[in-house]
Amino acid sequence: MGVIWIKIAKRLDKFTDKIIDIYAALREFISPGWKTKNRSKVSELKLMLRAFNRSPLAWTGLTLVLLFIIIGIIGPYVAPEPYWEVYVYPKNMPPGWVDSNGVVHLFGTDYYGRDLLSMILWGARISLVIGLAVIALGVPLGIILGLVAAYYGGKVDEVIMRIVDVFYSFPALVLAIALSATLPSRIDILLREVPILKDFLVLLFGIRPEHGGYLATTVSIIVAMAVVWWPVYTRLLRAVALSEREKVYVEAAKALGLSDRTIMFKHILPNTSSVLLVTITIDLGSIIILEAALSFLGLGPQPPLPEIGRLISDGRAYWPEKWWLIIIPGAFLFIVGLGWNLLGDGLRDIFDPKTRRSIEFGIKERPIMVHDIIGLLGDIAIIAGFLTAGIVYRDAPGMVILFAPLVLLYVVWKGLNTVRFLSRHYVGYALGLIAYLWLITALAKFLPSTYPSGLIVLCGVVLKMSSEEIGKRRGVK
Amino acid sequence: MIQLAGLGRYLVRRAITFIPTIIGITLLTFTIAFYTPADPARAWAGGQKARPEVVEQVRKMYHLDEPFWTQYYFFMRHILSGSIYSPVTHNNIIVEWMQGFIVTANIAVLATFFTIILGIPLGIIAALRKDTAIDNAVRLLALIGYSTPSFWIAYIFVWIFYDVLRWITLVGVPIPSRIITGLFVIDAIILGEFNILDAIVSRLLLPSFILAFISFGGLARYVRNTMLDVLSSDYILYAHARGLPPFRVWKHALKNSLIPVVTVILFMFAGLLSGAIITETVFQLPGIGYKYVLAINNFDIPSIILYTLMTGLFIVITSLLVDILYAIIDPRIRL
Amino acid sequence: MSDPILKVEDLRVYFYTYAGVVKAVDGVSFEVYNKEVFGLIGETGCGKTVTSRAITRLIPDPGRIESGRALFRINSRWVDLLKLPEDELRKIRGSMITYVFQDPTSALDPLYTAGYQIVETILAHNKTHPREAWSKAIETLRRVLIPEPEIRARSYPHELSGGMKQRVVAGASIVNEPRLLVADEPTTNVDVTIQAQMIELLSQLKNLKGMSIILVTHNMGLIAEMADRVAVMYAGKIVEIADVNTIFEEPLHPYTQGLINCVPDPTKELKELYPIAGTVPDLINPPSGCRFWPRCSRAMDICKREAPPGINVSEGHRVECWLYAGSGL
Repeated sequence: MGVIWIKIAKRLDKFTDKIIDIYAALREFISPGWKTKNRSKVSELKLMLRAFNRSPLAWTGLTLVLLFIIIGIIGPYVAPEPYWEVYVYPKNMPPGWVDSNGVVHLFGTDYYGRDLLSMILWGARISLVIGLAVIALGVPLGIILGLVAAYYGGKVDEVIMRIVDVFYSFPALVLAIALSATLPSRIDILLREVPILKDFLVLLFGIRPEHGGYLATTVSIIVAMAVVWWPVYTRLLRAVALSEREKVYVEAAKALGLSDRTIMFKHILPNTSSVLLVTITIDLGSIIILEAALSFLGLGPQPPLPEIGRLISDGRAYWPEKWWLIIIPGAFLFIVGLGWNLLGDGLRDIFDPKTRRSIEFGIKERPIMVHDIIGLLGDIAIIAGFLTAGIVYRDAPGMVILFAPLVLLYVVWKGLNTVRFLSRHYVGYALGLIAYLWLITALAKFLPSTYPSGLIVLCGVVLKMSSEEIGKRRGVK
Repeated sequence: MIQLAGLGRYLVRRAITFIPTIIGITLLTFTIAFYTPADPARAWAGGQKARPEVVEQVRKMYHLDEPFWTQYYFFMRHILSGSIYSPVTHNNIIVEWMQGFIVTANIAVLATFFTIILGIPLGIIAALRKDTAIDNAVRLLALIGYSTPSFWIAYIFVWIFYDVLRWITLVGVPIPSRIITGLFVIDAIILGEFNILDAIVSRLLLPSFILAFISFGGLARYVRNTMLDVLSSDYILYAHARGLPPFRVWKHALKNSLIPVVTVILFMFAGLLSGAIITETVFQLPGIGYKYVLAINNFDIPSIILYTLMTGLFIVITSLLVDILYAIIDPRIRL
Repeated sequence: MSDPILKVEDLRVYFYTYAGVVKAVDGVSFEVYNKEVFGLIGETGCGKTVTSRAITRLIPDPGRIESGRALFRINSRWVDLLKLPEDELRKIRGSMITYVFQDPTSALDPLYTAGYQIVETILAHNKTHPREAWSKAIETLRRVLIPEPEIRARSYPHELSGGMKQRVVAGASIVNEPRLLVADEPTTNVDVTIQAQMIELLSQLKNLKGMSIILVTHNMGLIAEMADRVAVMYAGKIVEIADVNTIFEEPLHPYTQGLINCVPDPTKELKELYPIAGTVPDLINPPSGCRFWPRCSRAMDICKREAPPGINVSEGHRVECWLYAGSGL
């Protein structure tokens, strides 16, 4: 895996280098002399992207996020069916269901008899807009308050941070629920009084103008989440700005007699941009999931607006017979959330000089050997043993208690083995064997049919031990 | 002795700075409820068809016709004296909260337990095997935890463990005949009521495991980063340079990583105590999260305020606990 | 004088970073004799700290010791420290070879008292009763000139001043009576008065205990004051080794000459200093041939093509420079 990825990464390096070169050429074109002045910055950027290229996970994240954004933008235009025509088909039909016109519905139909795939395409736009709107509302407020608190300090800092403390004292979901339950009637009045805002939002969400009335609940969860989210950025900005304030360039700017506002926004803020970018990326994932959670509880966009969390909630009554009603929208949410998280994590790695330094340049790999395969077989056998035991005793819930420590011991054993914490590997195996013997003797008293699963586990242990022995004899760790 | 006196003074000082936060919490929750535009009195008296005199009576009872500060005063006085009743269920809401809390606390303890036993070893392993497949696996697990919607994974687990394996149950909350520690599992073991233990485990294990599933990866990653910070510090290198045996070096590394990790665990626990809203709703467990959603749906404003208030208080108290812990472990803070 | 206790041969330490392989130490050889102070001097980032730590394999990730030998004499037997099992190497660290780190503030664990950390060092290598170890620790603290050692031993690092912490670290490194003390920039992070005390302390310890010291520094004055022999490092290589008088009186390598010209001579009237032009080279892609040629005023064609050989100019004086190839031999 590692070796293959390195080959891909080297291709990507060329690609990202080219992007930076084009960017540099553009800057040079706008303001001649930029290139020579920023040579080290350009090479730093290239190295950053190279570090990003070393991580397959980060690239997976980037791909998923780009896909989500594209779906979010074009979703409403490519969705095969409209969301507002309800009960056209029988409700809750399975994936691959063919309607009377011979049209295949890839994901089946939802609770309101609409094509589920189309609903997800429409819903992606709603998720994307809500996520971006929360960031657009919450982040600037948080940034300004954070900068002000850090820069002025004293009483101003004290008051702002006490307010932040109050907001931090609530789990995001609790406060967001309270707010989104109480806000809609006020938002409704606002939307009625400012029709242009309503028209703009209708356009943003890509919904039918006559559904503008449904926007009140949608906007209230945006406001609710923005209210919950801004303190995060205040704390973050304050912490980063405090450490930046001590640095020489701020002293120099002060000595030059620059105004407070210039120092805060032109000098301190740009230096916090990498941290901000990482946090916003990760938070977009969390916001989209939180929004779905609120919809799941019945807050937020109301039917017929297609919302992912709502789709899941509608499918609850039919679980597990009509599993696709929950599994498909949930998987979509999970993948979107994972994409943002992977991307954010990758970005954090390349911005943090400490982790960046440790990203290894070349990965040396030894070829796969016989004992690797034997070892793998052993692992599979052990896991299979546990599973067999699990299936055999599925009617005895108390067995869970007995099983948990065993599986745990196995995990610990594997862990200790991998880190070579114990000087002799045999200690690890002994631990595993004791766990096994303990299980067999404990269970055999009550249930004679323990042996098959126990035997499989024993096989696995023996296989693992022999693989280690072969490896040692070959002189390979 | 001198040090202890200093510790006491430090804690009193810290506790005083929490007072504005607590007042802020009560004000914030009250403000959210106060500015709710619909007429709650009418809703509580029976909706549109309610007789005007009944509506008026309800309004008087909850001081709804008075200005903000008077309402706030009466509300806080009733809460502090423990005599406040829900206009919807007509029960004492503090008693209702306590009943919900004991269920939530059980889930929270179990979930924290699972998170710790899975998260800490994994984190240490990832730190020691930095930049290997294991480290990447832990990172991926953490990210999967962050991005899994709990209302989705809960149904998948329900399908596996309820519909296929039949290991768990989904109705009622079995309680041992006497409450000793408040933790049902331990009480049942103490009392020797193994059939109830079995029922409790079947009912509470899965919700707690789902909560742990979502957070253990994050804890592992946090442990890993903390451990790496400590392991790359000069004093660990110097401990090696002094030729200390491995377990001695470990003692230094673990004690230094302990404070941030315990802090995170405590805050996680406080978050769980404020009710796993989604999980409790999915599993229909009458904990405070489930009751909170009920209160929201019924427009039960006194309950909403009380529940949010208690959540905030838990987290403030946890901060105080964390401060105490720091003061005990870290000599630099005892000034 | 001329019986070596440590022989380092062709030591190479590489750091594997995403930007490339940093050849921090690239083929370094030297010897340290019994009861001498061996100075290792060079600019920041030339690899002197890495060299001193590689001797006992104290190299953090992503660094690796690529090759070389570090032979250490234990009871007239030579052991290669770079091949020793970790467990046995541990017994040498902190007892026979000890370190004084550059930054005293971060070298001590903030959560344990100064006395505890010294006692720990004693108990790691000796089977003593903890109470005896404690009184020994206090004795050591007294010897490194800490006032009221009984009270200081019970203090946490944050309660001690920078100089005090430096002396605690020095105390921890001499408590087991080492044969070789590696002092890494012992005077850099402390103020001038403490610097003087530190130098005083080191010379006293050396005379008292009869141990060898490797003094890693960029401070020419400190070298002149303390060292018996000096190795000058540049970009991961030792460019010149000689005894201290030779280095100051007749430096041969252009880089050594540059270093000495950088230091003002207090006995003469200050006219002009001669800083060395240019900066330390990038160790990922070091200059071809001799690593110093881009900054060297006397560079020749061959310097750019081929690395210079080590030339023994006289007894104990070795220089790596093409200027002296074929001369004096």
